[in-house]
Amino acid sequence: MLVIIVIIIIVIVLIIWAISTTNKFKHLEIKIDEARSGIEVALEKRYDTLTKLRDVASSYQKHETKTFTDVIALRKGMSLKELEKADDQMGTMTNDLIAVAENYPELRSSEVFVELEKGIRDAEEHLQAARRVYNANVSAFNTAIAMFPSSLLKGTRMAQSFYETTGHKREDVKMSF
Amino acid sequence: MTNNEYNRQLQKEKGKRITYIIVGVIGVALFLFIPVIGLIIIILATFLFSRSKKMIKEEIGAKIAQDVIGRYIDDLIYDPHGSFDTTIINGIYMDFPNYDRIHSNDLIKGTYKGHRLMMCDLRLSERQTTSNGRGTRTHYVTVFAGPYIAISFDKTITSSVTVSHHRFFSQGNIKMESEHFNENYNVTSESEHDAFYILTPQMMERIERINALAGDDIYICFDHSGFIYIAVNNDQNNFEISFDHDDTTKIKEDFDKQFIYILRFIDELLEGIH
Repeated sequence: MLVIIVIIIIVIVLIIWAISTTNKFKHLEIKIDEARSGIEVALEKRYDTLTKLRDVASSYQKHETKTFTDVIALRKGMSLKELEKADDQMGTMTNDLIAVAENYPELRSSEVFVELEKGIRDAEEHLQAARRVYNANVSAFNTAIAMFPSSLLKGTRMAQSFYETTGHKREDVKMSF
Repeated sequence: MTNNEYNRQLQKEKGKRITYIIVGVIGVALFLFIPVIGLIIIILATFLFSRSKKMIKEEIGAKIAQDVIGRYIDDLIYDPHGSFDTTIINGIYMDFPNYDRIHSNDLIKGTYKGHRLMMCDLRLSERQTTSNGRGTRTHYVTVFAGPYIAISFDKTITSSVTVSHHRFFSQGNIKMESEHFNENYNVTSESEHDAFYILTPQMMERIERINALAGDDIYICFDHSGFIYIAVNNDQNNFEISFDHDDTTKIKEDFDKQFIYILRFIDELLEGIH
C-alpha cells in the first residue's frame, strides 16, 4: 500500500512539473512574440521619422546628385532576417542623411530638422530597448530548453536566433548632426 | 548677509547663551536659600537658552542653508518646516519597507539644470507593539531616514519603473539581461519595454555607482508622470546646518560638501537618462 502511495505522489509531482515546465516554455514563447512585435513597432516609428527627415533633407539638396530613393519595405509578419535587413537599410539611410545635413548648415539648424533629429534619437532608443527585450527573452528561452531536466520536455522546440545588428547601427543612437 | 555678518550674529547669540548659563547657575545657588526665586530664575534661564539655541539653528541655519543651496538651485524656495506632499510619498511605488508614519521637513523647491526639483528630509517609521505580560507598549521604529528627491526628466513612459536594492523576501517582476544587476536589484514595472528603455546598460552602471555611494540602500522610481523619485536611506538630516564650527565659512563649506553629495545622485541619473 505504502509503495502505491509513494508511486502516486511521484507521478503527481512529475505531472505538476511537466505542466509547469511546458507552461514556462509557452510563456517564454509568447514573450518572445511580444518582444518581436515591439521591434516591429519601434522599426515602424523609426521609419516614419526617417521618412519625414528625408523629405526635409530632400528640399535642401536640389543640386545634390545623390537622391534618397531607397525603398525600405516594412510589412506585417516579416521574418527576423527581414527585420534585421530593414533595420540595416534604415541605418544606411540615417548615415546618408547625416552626410547631407553636414553640407547644409541651414538644414542642420532648422527647427523641423532639430525636432526630427530628436525624434530619430528617441526612436533609436526605443528600438534598442525592443532589441534588448527580445534578446533577453530569447536567452531565457534558449537556456530553459537547454537545461536538464526541462530539456526532456522541449519536444520539437528549437533554440531561437538572437536579433543581431551590425556595429554601425548601434552607433546610430549616438549620432549627432 | 555676508559671512562676517553671520559670524557677528552667531557670536552675539553664543554670548547670550553664556549669560543664560551663568544666570542659570546663579538660580541654582539661590534655590538653596530662596527656593521660589531660584526656581523662577532657573526656568527663565532655561527658556531663554533654548530660544537662543532655536534661533541659531532655525533662523541663522536656514539662511546659511539657503545661501549654499541657492548656488546650485534656481528659483529656490527653502522652507525648514515645509513637508513633502504625503499623497505623493504614498502614491509612488518605491519598494520601501513597511511604514505607518511619515515625517518630512526641510522642503526645497526649485530648478536644477533646467529640471524641476523638489526634495526634503524624510523619515518613515513602523509601529511596533511589544507585550511584557503586564501590558502592551506601542513604539515607532525608523525604517527609513534620508533625502527624498523628485526631479523632472524628459523621457515619456507609459508605466513607472522602480529599482531598489535587492532584499530578502522582495522580488521585482522584470529581469534585465545582466545577471549581476538582477542579483543585486529588484526591478518592477508593468511594461518590460519601458524598463529596458529607461534602464540602458549605461543607466544600470550609474545606478550601481550611486548605490555604492549610498551604502547599498537606495530606492529609485522613474515615474510615468515625468519625475524621477530618489530616496537614500543614509540616516542623516541632510539639509540641516551643523554648527560644529564658529566660523560661517567653515559651516558653509561643510554644508556645501553635504549638498554636493546629494546632487551627485541627481547628476548621475540625469546624465544616464540623456
